[in-house]
Amino acid sequence: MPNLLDIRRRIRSVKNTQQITKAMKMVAASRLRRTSEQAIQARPYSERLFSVHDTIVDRVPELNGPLYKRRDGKWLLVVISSDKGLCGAFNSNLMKAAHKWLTHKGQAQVAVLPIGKKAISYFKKQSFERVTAKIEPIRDVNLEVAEEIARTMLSIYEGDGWQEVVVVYNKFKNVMVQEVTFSELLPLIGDSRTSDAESATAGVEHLAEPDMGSILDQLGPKVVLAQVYQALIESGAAEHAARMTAMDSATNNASEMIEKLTLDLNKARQAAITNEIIEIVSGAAAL
Amino acid sequence: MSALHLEILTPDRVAFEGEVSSVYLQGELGRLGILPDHTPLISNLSFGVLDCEQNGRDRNVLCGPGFVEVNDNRVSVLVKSAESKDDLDVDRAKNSLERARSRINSMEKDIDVPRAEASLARAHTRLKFVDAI
Repeated sequence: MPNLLDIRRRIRSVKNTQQITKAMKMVAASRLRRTSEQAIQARPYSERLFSVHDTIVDRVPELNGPLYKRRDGKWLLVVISSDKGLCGAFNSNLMKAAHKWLTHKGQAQVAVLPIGKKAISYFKKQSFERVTAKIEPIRDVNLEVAEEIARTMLSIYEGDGWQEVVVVYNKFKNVMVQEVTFSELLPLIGDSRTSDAESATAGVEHLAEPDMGSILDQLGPKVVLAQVYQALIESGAAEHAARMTAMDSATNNASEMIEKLTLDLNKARQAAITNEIIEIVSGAAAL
Repeated sequence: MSALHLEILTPDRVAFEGEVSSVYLQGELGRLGILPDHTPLISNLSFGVLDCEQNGRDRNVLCGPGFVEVNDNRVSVLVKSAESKDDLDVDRAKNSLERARSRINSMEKDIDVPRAEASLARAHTRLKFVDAI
């Protein structure tokens, strides 16, 4: 027979936990609204940018900038995780997919650049080669952060020995679904990015000023930046969505638990009262 | 006369979208004027003021470096930043002007002079844009 006091204590602690998860759910919901708005606001720019880029890439017969050549070397996987936990399977799904990809390519052929505290601590324990870059933990995604990451990636890639840079992150599909997505970042070879929005400009002979080549020199890094930024905000929105659902179910579980414990408490109380009555009655009968 | 559809897009937002009758931009090689039925064009843009005319009224936006694409009476301006007169931070521009000046004038060796000069020029353009100089 569980002690009345113990059950009361447990109910109180579960209630406290529930309060915390409820608050976290609210916070995640409001941040989700902000980040998903941010993601939507950023979309037109990157779509137009990619389409302009594709148009130029189609027109320039020989792409010889360092960002366009396919070379021999290793693969670099950039893993974008969150800084904080308590968001369900958000990070573990990502790590699982990243791990599988890396093992598939072969350990000697790959290196990892983790972004976000969770990814950094995960890959510290793994035996893959790590590229360390000075990237501050991301609290709020903004352009400066994306710029810094994009710059780091470009400078790594421009050094010799890299075949491809691939980013893996959680894509925000909707509030319930996050999708682990791999996207090729470098080299910038047009076809991988082509989506439906491009068809409008395909085949149009644009005048170029000063000339296609020098526009491309400027445009290439911008495309990388836009992709990094997109990945970061998508991952941010996905993180908050994941946390919101995780905290919602935690709150529900806590409610269920409180219900069960209250039932136990009442049963225990009733048993105690019955016991007392029996004691009194049998005491009275003995007189 | 057909109108131009102008979009000013920055990485984090849509800064302007609407019908205009003309657009003047700061191209890398000089000012670019775009009127309806302009031939398809892609150009680099430098930091500078974009002027456009909307319903007979002038509108100015200070645009960061980027690109413009013109196609089929659709002008897409893809720039790093876009500020109108109202949301330009004058104090910040003044501060960066001072900072750039002192960086250029200081005799230290490890100063990136071209970068400081570019920053000075940007701050100057900003202040001139809001008539604060």
